[in-house]
Amino acid sequence: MPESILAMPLAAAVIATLTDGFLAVLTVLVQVAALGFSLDIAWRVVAAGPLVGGWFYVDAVSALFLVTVAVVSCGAAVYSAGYVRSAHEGKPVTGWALRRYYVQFNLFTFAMLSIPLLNNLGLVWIALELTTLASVFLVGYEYTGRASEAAWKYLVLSFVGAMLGLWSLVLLYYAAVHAAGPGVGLDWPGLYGLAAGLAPRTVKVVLLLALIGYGTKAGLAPMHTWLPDAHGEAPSPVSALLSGAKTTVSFYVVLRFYFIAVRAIGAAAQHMMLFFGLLSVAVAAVFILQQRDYKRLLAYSTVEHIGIAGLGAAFGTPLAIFGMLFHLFNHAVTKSNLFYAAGNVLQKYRTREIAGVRGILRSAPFTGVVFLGATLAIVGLPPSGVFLSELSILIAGFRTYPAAAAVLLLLLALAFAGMVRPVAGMVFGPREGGVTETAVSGWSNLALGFNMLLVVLPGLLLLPWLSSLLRAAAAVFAGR
Amino acid sequence: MYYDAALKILGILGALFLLEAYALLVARQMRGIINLYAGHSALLAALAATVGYLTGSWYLYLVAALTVLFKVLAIPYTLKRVIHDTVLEKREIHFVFGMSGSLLIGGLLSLLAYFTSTALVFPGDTLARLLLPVGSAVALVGLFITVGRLEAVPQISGLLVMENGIILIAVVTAFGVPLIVEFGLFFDVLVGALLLGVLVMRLFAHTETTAAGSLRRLKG
Repeated sequence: MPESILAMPLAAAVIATLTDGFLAVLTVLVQVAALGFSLDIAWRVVAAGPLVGGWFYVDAVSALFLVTVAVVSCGAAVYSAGYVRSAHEGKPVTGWALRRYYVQFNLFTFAMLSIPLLNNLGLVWIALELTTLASVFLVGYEYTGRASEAAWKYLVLSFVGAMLGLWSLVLLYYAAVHAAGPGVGLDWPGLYGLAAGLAPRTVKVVLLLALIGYGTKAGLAPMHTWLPDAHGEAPSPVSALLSGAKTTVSFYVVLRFYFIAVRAIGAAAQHMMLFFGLLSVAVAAVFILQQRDYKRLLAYSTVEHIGIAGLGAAFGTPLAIFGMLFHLFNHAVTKSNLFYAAGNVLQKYRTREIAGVRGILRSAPFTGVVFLGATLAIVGLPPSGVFLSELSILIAGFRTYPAAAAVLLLLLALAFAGMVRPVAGMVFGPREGGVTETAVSGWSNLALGFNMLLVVLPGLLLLPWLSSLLRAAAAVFAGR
Repeated sequence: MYYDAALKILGILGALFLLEAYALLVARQMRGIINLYAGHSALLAALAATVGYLTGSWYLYLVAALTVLFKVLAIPYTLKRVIHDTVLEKREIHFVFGMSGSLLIGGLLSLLAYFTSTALVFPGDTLARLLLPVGSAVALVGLFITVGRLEAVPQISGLLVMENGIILIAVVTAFGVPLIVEFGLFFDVLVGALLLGVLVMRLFAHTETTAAGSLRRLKG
């Protein structure tokens, strides 16, 4: 079953090198099928425990992240179908440019879907690096000087992060070999079982390197600086994939290392995570408050939310871990939806300046409603899923690290103001001249609508279904 | 007796490995930088083969062979092919901290690496005691090359040197990582180097310079 999830995007990437006919529809079909298979796997994992076989190991945590990535990829594929029809000043992308786009799109999703499925942490490292390599030219796709610059920064910083991550992996392996002899593998369940016997001093260095290294790809401060550039300059469906899926799946790798460390060194690990989480939220809040470009505003909001998830992991109670995992799902669907809305706005207004956009509700009512609704959801207003997950993290935080939770609450309020004020300015107001008359593609609106359901439903209806998966995932990290 | 001789050889190779990282820290000729990297990788291959001989693990010979194939031949060749001569002929000497300042910081980083990594060595592990600090120092110096130099080509070499240092750590601590991982890793690095080279040319086309440090449009 995991094989078929991975084979489909790979096959689509190969097909995309050969033809440029039906690529958009093919990719949508492939991603929908991948989502279907992922849901099936999640169902079976919840019912019957981890799926083990060959190179794959799928426990509830993997299944949760698999579903998250598949949902975002699915939405991005649908939105892409609209994007390639009207990308550049209303003209469709064709020929080689179109093939290039879909080869990379499918390779990128292939790499991201493989990360939660793979058993061996070394292979996970390779797949994680592959996500970067496959998406570099998607970031630089619009071939401007700014986009190339963003792609350069993205590749160099990701490479540094990958190297630190490799260093962390090698030292972890060294500690494991000394704890259990030379036959030890790099599979996560094995390493997690060994965790209590690992040398604490080595584990501290391992965790530090992992938080900085894999944290670079996840968007944890202080190595987040590539993120606003790459997410800001990339085409909107790619921004959605980067922000919704790539950071999430990178954070998944951080979590795998982090929970080994928690088992080995306990509170010391939690304090490290607490530091990086708070730093991320604080840095993001400061930059959100002074942002003039709405796509970069959304990118900094991603840094903020990954930081919040980090804090959830640091608080460490079952409720906090539940909230953290739930938050990553909610953030993924909400943020990708915001980037779709931002893509529509960019297409209408041809500017990324917040000050240059007025009256979206009048010029593109559906986009305006979704943009406003998703913004209110991402800052944590009910009935969104983000509200529930942030509430769980905060409640757990006040019970374990009250000072940190209080600071988090303050920073959330700052980010709230920093997000809602500019977006309200863009959405409301009179319709001003200079709006292009190109209609937004039906595909784009379909992606917007589908995702908006996911933004709101977890807070209202979906939770009972989702929570069995979330509880099973939280139980994995609680060591039960 | 052979054991002692091999250890001595390892010591010398390790010293050269670190020295060449310093040379890359201050090298000026773009083409020379790529050649220095090829030499650095050759030293890594020699280190891996010697460790393989010492410990009797045939597997490390394979690592050495892959290193020669990928890093002594393929990556330098790719970089030279992708990056045009107009860029490679340049002598660019922009340092964030100046030349002597860079060397000083490089030295301090090596000391830091020495003290932190000797604390990680498990007792009785002679090989790791000898070479783990070298690997860590090279990794940190490589990182510093990426941070402390302003042109794109030296920055790429910094990333690759960092990777060499970490592979050395893997070789001496755990006698390498599993084969499939090793292969995928080298492949990733090769593709990464290729993409970096292509991006350098794109940046050059847009800004007429490869001084990535002077890219300041994206801020805040």
